[in-house]
Amino acid sequence: MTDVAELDPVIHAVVRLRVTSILAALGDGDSLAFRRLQSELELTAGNLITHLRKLEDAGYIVSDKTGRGRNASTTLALTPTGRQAFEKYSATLRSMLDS
Amino acid sequence: MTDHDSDVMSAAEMLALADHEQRAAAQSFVPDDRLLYSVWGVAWGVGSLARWSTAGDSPRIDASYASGWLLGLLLATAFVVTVLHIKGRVGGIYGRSARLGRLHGATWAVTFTAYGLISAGLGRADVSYEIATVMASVLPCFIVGILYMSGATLWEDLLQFFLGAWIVLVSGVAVLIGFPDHFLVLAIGGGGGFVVAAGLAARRDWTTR
Repeated sequence: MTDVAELDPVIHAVVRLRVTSILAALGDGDSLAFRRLQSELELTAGNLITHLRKLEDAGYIVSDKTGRGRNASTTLALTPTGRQAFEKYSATLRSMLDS
Repeated sequence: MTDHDSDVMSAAEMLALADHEQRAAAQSFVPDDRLLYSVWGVAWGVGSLARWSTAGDSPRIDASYASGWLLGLLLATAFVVTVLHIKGRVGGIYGRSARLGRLHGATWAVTFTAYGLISAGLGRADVSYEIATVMASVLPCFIVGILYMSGATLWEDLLQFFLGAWIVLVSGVAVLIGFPDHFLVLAIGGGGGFVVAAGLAARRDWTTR
């Protein structure tokens, strides 16, 4: 029987699950601007940054800077490790429901 | 929301949340074909029908000049709606999709710049008003069809491919029919094709929801 303890604690939080789900919906080789992610989630920048830092520390997402001056933007993307972790998390949830 | 939110959500709720976010995001990252096909269908259909009603030696309505402006206005409106909508949907997405989108957008811009030059050339060339009108009205339809087919190969969108193929064929038939009934072919075949495609896109989106 699959247990809650088996769920990845980095992803097992509502905001971080929402972040990884949205980034997983991007095409291969794509990344999302911080502002767009923030508007999709309707969160404050401070709250979002806290969760993004946890995902980045775990190596699940990567951030990058694009543009200069007023056009500068931080972009975010799932790493292959992050995608794998998200898929494993979803599969674990499904097996919990099946058992 | 905090880390503790997950403590009060069941596994089923967390899975439903993940599925919902992924589906909603996937939809919000791509243009809504239902909207775009509808807007172009109405613009092309109504505009071309107006042109047909006012064209020829014995027009049904004597307002050729006004119908030309109406078609232009409708197509310009559809263009603005398209640009604003696509900008809203793909804004903030970087990487491969954005690069492909920019190249595809540039293809439209370059092609329609060339169309403007061709239309100007037709106006100056020693060809009849009928031939110049047929070519000037069919050529953009022909171009749109080809660009839809090429776009379909980029986004792997079968509906867009068939719509493009249909429009290209309608363009060919319109030239065969000739002035002024080619406007009717463009209205029913071109505008109607877009409206049917909008319906098929709605059905596709509904079944994959």
